[in-house]
Amino acid sequence: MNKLRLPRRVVLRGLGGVALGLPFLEVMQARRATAQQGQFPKRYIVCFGGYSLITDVDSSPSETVPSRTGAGYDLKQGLLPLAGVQDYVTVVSGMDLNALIGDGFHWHANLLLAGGRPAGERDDALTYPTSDQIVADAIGAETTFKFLAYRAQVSSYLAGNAVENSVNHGTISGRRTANRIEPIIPNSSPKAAFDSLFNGFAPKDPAGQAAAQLKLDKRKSILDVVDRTLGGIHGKLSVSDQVRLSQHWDEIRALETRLSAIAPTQRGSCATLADPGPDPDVGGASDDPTAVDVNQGYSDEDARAGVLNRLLAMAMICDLSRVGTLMYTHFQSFMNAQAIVGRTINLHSVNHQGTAVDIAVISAWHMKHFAELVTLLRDAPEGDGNVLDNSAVVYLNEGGEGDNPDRTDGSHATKGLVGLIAGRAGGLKSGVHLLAPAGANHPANLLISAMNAVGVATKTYGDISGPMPGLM
Amino acid sequence: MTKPTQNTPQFWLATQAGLLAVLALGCEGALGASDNAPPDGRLAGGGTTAAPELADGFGVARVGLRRLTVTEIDNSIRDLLQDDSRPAARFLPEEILPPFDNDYGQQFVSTVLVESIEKVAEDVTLRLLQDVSRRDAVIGCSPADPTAADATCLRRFITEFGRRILRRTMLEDDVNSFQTTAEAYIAREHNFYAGIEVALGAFLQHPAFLYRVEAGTPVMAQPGVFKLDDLEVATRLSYLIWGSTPSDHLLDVAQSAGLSSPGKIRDVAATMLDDARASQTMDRFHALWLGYSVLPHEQALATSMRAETSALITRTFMNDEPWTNLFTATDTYVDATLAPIYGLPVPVTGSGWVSYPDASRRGLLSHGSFLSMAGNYSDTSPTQRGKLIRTRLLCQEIPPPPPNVKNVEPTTGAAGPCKLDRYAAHRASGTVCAGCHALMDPVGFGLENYDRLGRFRTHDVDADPDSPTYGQLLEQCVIPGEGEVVGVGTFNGPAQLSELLVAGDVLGPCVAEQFYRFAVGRKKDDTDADAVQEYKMTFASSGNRFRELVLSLVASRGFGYRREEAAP
Repeated sequence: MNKLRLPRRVVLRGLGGVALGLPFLEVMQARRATAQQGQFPKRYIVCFGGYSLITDVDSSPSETVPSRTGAGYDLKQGLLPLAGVQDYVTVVSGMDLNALIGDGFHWHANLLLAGGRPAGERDDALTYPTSDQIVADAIGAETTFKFLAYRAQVSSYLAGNAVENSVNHGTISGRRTANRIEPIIPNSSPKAAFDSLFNGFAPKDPAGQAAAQLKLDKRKSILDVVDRTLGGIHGKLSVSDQVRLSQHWDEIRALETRLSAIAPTQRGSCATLADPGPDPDVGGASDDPTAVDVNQGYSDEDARAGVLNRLLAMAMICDLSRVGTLMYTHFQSFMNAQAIVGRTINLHSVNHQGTAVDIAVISAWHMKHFAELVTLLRDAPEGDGNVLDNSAVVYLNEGGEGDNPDRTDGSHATKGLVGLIAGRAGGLKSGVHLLAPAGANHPANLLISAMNAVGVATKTYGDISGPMPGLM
Repeated sequence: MTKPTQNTPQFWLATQAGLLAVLALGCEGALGASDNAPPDGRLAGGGTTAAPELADGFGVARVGLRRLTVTEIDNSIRDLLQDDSRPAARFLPEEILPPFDNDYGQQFVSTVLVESIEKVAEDVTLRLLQDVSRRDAVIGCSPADPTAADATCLRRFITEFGRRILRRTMLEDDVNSFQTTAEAYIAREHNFYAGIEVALGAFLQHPAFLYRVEAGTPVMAQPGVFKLDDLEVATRLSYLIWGSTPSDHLLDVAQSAGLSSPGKIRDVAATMLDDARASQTMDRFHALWLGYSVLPHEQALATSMRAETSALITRTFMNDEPWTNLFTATDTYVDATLAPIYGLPVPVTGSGWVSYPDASRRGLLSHGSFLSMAGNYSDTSPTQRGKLIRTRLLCQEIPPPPPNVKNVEPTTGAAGPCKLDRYAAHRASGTVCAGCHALMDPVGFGLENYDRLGRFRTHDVDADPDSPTYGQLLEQCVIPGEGEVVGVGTFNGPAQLSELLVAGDVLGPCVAEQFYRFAVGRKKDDTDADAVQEYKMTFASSGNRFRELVLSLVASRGFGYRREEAAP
């Protein structure tokens, strides 16, 4: 009665160009069993924080970048939360965006992640698919979720007239569709992300199971009705409209497919997480940095980030997905940073008016979360090792610490960028601090190495070529 | 262009009416239409009715597939199901506002969108089924036996509610699909309402509900131009004027040829303007246009400020006053929160209309909502205010700053602590910045006597957080409040600015252009130039009557047509 029945029209690649993940079929379970002999799937994650490593105001030495290179690098205040997993985290400093980018920080920082030249002045649109999408295309088809895209910062927190408002500020992921690169909107609701991830995990008691099965069946049937009654409308539209409608149609089918997936066996580290409950309330616009209400411009992103870390990690552990992105804060983030630095000021203003210590505190908050994610993966045994041994987890932030030793660029520094790569997939060297080598010092080089580490043998990324020597 | 003679369009339509009726049955907005349709969309027999005035495709806006906005989804759910809990605002991802919420080029599909729509559907359905009287009103009938499938009631619900929510007549096959699945769950759960749950869940997640599907029929000799069918015109009208789904009455009017000409569309639209939702849409349009839809204040203050401006917009609109009266009103609607900010007496009943005691304030530009905009570093920014006024209120283009300019708080330096001096020094510094700042700063300085809450002040406030006198009045910095809109004239304060702009006849053309953008769902481009020009002229020649802003647009020749976007 509860046999797995795939919907009639399961396709691997929909008309809208959205590739679908397959349900976790018994055949996958068999494949996972053979993986017990040491061939575990690789995981790829990119995380991001929207801050620079330097301010306009203070040019004292970095409180974030290690002074020593090599293994056992010194942890300054800005990276201190990595202490518990330092041996798994490699720090790359001295990266540089300037090979491709001239001026125009805020509209070009997005290209940090896609390695591409900006499309035009003040145009922050991605011009290439991002690395997570390239990897997802390569390794995402076997899992229930081809990829997961999460974001902790809930809102832009900008007043209605703000021209800074751009959809590209709130995502680090973009994919190719029929005629352009489209941003992927991440999930910024921990509760919704939880529900989506644990769709198929049934309660233990028989009555609960029956009720859960009924609910699941009904959801699938509802989507099936929609699926079956959409063709006529689609056929009447102009071609460009058909393409757009197809994207939505593909997502409906993808949801239906995910609802048909068998839940992974809960054993070892793979288990349902506790329901996080309703999301924290969303705070209002923080245009005014003297806002007296701490909830203006803040929606307990600290708690949200924690839930999203745990969800993303569990998704990797349970092999629900092998690719993920977690954006902690927006590009040019206007989130109220009072909960982090102890005074009412938004993150963007900290970058322009704060001190080096402020930046270290901001960095440390992000590192606290990154470290939690990495630790969860390390603490999940897999074969003779752990999940982190089979992963490449990258962290990038928005701006660098400028042109050493002068550090005169200020908070829009596109030089002196720092990236982290955690994990040991594909022979990644972990736990060292290295200076980005000349000729391969663009973040795209780091991402090429990360992609190579998980088995995607690309030599180029955007307009940049070559891995970063010293990482493997 | 001369008006067509009275006989020609009527005669044309009368002889084609029979053919139209036949065509309508086969293709008018039906789900699951036959796959036999020729790929280019032209009907067998090639019948179309190009009204003579459309022979040149004039004024037909290019439009791509548009999704309902969060507000439109919530308004539709409110009107379809009497549920005002605003579920889309709670579940869907945040929209960006460039400046309107309905730019279809910025509407991306994502996994999170589709999953959140499912949550909306589940939430709304559960809430409905728990509220028995509302449930019965929406379904429109009761099953003979609530534990079994009452096929008549079920099918009636699917057909009638389906027409209402999908804004089209459902095809037999599709009603059958809905019914079969609904009945399966009625049987499984021994509950008629399990079937309703399934049907409603499918309706709420259906792209035919979520998207404003426009197909229409091709217009001969106008490649890419399509005449919308009547229900598609009804949908355009109701979403533009009410921000919500067409009523049953409007659907009926549409399906009895009540929207078959620009004159008829205008008449129907005029009655629609009397509905409270029309004022609400006007209110929303202005808030998005000028940016105060999201205010950087705590909730109670933001609510009061919105209420003040909404009241003015509603009153001006409902009375069909000239739209420019928004800027010249001599009174304002305040409550106990706002009155002290403006130095006005608190109304006896707690909130109400109060006349301005002097000539310093007039209309919307004096409101806290507008004056809250465009601040920076906890104070007003004359540059940002000037930019807001020039670019949004006057539809002018100001080139962006050089690429690497940072938003750094100006420090006191040699120019001294007074803002006027600091900004003047910046403009006089001979950099490339001066040219554009000369256009913006003087506008903003004309409003400098009004702080970020719209409160009057005579002196600068120390806005330097590191200063020992942070937040205090700077006695040496008197604010003269002299402003200039270069090219228009000088002013001091919001009342004079309003008078200047109204007299200069510069506001009307801009609001028309903005409303066009709001209506079409994208920025205007060269292909819209003629249509927008004609629309501006019609609006102006009406004396800028508020209602004409809507009626001129919907009664334009191109409104009942669409032009498709290029294939990718």
